Amino acid sequence: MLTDQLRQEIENDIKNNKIVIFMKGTPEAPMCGFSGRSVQILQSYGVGVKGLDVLSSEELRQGIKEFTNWPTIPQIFINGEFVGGADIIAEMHENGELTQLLK
Amino acid sequence: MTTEEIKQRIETAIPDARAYVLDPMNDGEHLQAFVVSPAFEGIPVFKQQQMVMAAIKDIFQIVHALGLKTFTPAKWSEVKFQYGF
Repeated sequence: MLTDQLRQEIENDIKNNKIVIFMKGTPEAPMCGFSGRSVQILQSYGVGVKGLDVLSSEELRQGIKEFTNWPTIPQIFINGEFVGGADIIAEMHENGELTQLLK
Repeated sequence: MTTEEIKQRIETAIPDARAYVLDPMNDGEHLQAFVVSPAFEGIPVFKQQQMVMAAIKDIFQIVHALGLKTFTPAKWSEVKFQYGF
C-alpha cells in the first residue's frame, strides 16, 4: 500500500536525482534481466543513476506500482517524470530521445 | 489468461485499437504485444505505453513480463514488416 510517507519519499527521490530506477537488485548487482539492461543503457550516458531495490522492501515494490499506475518493474524516472519500463528505455535509446532528455 | 483475452482487454480500453498479443516463448508468462491506435496520434511513445499498461495492470498477477510496442496507424504501416507482420 502506498502510504503518505512512502509517497513523500518517492517524490523526494525523483526530485533530487536526474535518473531514478526502481529495480530488482542494485545497479551493481541486478537481479532481473530487464532491470539490468535498463541500468546498462542509462549508465552509458555518463549520468548518475540512482537505483532503488524493490526486492529489499515489499512496501516499496507495491507502492511504486500504485504511484505510477504501472504494473511491472523496472520503472524509470528522468528529470522528475515517470518514463516507463525496460522497453521504452531501449526504444528511446535507439531513437535518440534519451540523448535529448539527458542533455 | 490467454493472449486472446489480453488482446480483447487492450482493444476495449484503447479507442479503435488493434492489438496483437504473442506468446513467443510459449510459457504464458513472457508476452509481447503490438498495439495500433489512432488515439496515440500526437502523444509521446512513453505516454502511449502508460495508457496501455494502466488498462491491463491486473494481468501482471499472472503474466511476468509484457514486451510492449505502440504505434499510430501511419507508423505501423511503415514498420510492421520489421516485426514479421
